[in-house]
Amino acid sequence: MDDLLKDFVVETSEHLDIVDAELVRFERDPNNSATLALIFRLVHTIKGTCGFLGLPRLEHLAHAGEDVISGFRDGKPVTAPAVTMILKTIDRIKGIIAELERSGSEPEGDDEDLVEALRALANEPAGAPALAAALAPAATIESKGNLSFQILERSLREDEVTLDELERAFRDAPGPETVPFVEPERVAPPPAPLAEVPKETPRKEKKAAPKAEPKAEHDGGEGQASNENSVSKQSVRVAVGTLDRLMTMVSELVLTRNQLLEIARQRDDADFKSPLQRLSHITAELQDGVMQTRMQPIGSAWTKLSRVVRDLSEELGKKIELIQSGAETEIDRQLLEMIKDPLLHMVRNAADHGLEMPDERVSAGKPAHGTIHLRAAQESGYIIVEVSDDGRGIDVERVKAKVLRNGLSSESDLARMSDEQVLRFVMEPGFSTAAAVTNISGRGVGLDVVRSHVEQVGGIVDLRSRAGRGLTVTIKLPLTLAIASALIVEASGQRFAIPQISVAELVRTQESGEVRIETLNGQATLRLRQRLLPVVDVAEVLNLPRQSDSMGMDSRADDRLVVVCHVGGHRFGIIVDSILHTEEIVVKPISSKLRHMSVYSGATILGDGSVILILEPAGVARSVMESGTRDTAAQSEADLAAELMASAERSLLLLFRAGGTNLKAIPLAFIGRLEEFEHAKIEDTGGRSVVQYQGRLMPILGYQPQGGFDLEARQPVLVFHQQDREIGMAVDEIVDVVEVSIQIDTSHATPGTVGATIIDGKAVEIVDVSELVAPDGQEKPAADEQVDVMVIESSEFFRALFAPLLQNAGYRIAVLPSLQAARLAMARQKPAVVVLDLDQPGEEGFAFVRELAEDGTSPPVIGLVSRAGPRLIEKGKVAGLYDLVGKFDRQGLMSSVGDVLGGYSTSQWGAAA
Amino acid sequence: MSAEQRMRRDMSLVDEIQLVSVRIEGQLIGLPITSVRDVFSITAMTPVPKADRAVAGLVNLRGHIVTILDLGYLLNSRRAERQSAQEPMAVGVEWQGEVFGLVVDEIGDVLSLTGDSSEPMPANMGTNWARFTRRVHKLERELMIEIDLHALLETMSLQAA
Repeated sequence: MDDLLKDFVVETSEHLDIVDAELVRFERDPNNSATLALIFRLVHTIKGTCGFLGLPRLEHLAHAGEDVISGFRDGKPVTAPAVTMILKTIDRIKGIIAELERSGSEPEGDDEDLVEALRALANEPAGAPALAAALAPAATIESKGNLSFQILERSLREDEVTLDELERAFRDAPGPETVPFVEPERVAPPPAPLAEVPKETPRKEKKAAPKAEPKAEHDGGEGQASNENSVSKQSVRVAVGTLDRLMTMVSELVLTRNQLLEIARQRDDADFKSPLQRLSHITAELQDGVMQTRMQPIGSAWTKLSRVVRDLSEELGKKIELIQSGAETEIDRQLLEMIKDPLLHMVRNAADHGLEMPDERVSAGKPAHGTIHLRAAQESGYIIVEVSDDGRGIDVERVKAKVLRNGLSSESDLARMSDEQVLRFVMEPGFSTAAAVTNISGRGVGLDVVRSHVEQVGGIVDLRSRAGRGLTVTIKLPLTLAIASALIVEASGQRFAIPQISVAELVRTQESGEVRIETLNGQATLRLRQRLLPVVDVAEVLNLPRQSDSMGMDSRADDRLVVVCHVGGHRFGIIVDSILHTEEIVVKPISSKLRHMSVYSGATILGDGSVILILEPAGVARSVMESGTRDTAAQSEADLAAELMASAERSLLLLFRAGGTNLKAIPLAFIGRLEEFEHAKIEDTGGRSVVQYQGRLMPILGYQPQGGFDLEARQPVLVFHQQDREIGMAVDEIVDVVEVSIQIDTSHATPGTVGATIIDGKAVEIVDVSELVAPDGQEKPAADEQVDVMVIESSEFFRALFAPLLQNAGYRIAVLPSLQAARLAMARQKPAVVVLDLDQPGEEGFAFVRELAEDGTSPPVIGLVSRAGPRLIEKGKVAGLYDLVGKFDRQGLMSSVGDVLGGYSTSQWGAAA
Repeated sequence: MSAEQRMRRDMSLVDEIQLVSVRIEGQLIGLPITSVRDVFSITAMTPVPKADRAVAGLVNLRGHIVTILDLGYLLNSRRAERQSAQEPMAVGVEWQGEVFGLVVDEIGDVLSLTGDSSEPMPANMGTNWARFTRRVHKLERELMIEIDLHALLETMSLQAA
């Protein structure tokens, strides 16, 4: 293929991509004459260039397309079919160009079908001037051109010409323009011989014209940039291979530099140091520079997407708006290539499955047109790319059901997982197979592909779904592929690198401190800011021999270092012996003999010349989590059955001992923090025990001063939050956190307890926390006072839970045990919101909701359920519920109540799911 | 060309084979010199925990990461711990664009051998031996096994997968 043709192919492909995107924009905004002018110019250029390269087929097509666009310029209405037609034409042109690139000549065939259709469009009598304009475009253009796009951003250089002059040059050139109008009424023509178009000798003197045509960007990239910046004297085209080679060499240079620096560190040689310092700087600059050449605005990958979305919206009959922000974010070319497909997948998914049909949206109270939002940004050394839609989101419950069906996890594991974690199953390979997937609101098709693509380049995918309100897929990518920042850690004397991208934080554990490692069921967990994270010991996972000097360093030991990783919704800790430093490493692929090992993602050479392995945090975690799952799977059937039975009302309970040997329990949700204080620190003021806590005095209830022997010993204290202060409760021993279904026997309630339950065959008293969390001395509100919140809850236990919670937040409440009582109370009181327990069997609760909803003046009702399933949500919605909240979802309840009383009237659907 | 002729030709082609003699686990082994890239001593090897036993570790060979394989594990199912004081040596071989190092105890001369001195492996050898070895050369003092490197490395990746 000669150079001219090659240039033409590259340039035209770029132009076509731009036209694609611009047309979509134009369709939405037909009055934008600048866009139209750009489209026209590009199509026109293609036509002109084809003319003297002797590409009759292309020219013919482009010409027909141009006529239609020209019609738009003359004020013809821009219709969707017309745009579709032009897009089709562009697709055809692309096909021909692809063939041209491959073989060097136009493929055989003809395009009369398209040309006919285009011509019909162009001749459509839409207003008087349409036909005339099509027939005499030259005349109109010259006058119009000056108005619409002769807007120069800067004065011309001496060797440049204005676009209008170019236009004129094209127009004046004898071309095939007049040919197509010979036979407008021909229907279904026989394949027309191409020779019919009389154009094969390129006219030499015209060659200058396309060369002067704006070549926008560098690096073979396309982009919207060409829209604005025009002439390209400042940029050259460089083969991608050259850049890649440069990058490889720079990577090696960085490595060598690191090695030199390491040597210099060991020797104290001033003469050597300063030039090395300089070398180091230059290397860094060179690295930046070379990386810069490989950067491309991510928008260049998005141009195609607007077209895709447009086509999908036609196809699916949905109205979809694509919003882009951060298109100028620069990203490594290679990475961009790698994520193009995943992006396409994600956008397709969002359009196809995420967004609902317009009528469905309207009935859900959303605007008829769906929105897909593409966002890109550079954040702390990573590129964040986000695709979010405002569609229906993913239904977590259905994902769970599917996970169970496929045996990917057990019920008990699922119950413990956060929604985020459950959602991640959608990206498991097992999930993406065939039709079964479409059950899960159709998502998951290809999401595992997205994940594998992204993970391949060291990135991370995250899903965030808000049922009924949409799904957000976030991709976090390293800035470049070749060089990554890594944390160098040591375990059992061996060093490993952990990619920074997955490291969330580093913590040091202390046996008695706030951050510590505890074992639950033989598995180590890290208690960090009152959340339990699974932790794995690298040494254990990798079967590293324990060093002899670390005797007794078991998982409970003091002073361990934990690298907290965040990989795709999972947080977990990796225990290491020491953390050495961070280093820029050049990731080298791992040997083919080791590639099957998921715990390593590669290897690298450190500054000191030693080889170290790069750990793949997800792989490390998986190796442990999977075995965990297997263990659970091995549990007896009976256990599982029991689990299923009990899954109705589950809650995390903190088990402890205080004043006696029997176990006591408090729902974990009500405990603010667990602390330990030295006995010496606990003081006595006027018969009350207090401790200095966060700069204030915190009263401690139930504290028994110890004899003077062991002041060093520590007193475990449960800390409760009370409006704006804390209150402590001394306990003898914190035993465990268990997840149980609570079936409380309230008949045994004694002062200070709400009842008892059986946990693992032992009776456990559930402590009444209402006294602890209720403000001192505040009585239960009088019945006929003005109330904000009316709680209707049949269970004594939950009554005891909710009352203090709401009181604490400063609401005046009325608590009623039954609907009958509530009906009576409603006659006197007008609460601003009703919180209603919907767990009782029968329809009575829902009937009550309907009753209230029909009466226009009644307060909104927030339903409480143990478990909010999609069916229940739907049912509640129909009945007129304001919101549906899980019984143990303290935050959900508070925010929902807050919404009502704060005067927000938007419905809170989805908060429960 | 008859089968017999072809065989004779093959024999004559391999007639003058040059083998690098190495000693692994006391056994004299010949590696075709064409597949040997270099010989180096193993310093600062990084073990790969949990990897296949045949993978001894990774080393930095002039800026490239080379995977060191332990032939002893492949050839013998049991193996005594190596207790030599000096740095172990390795023979670098290239396979499918990747460089591997094979741990050896001792490196000897390059021997030019003719087909006359060789015989196929005796049938009573272990399965691994039969798979990786090409034939036995009868040297004056002892027997030398000629290794089929391609078969060896290929089998390894099959095992790995």
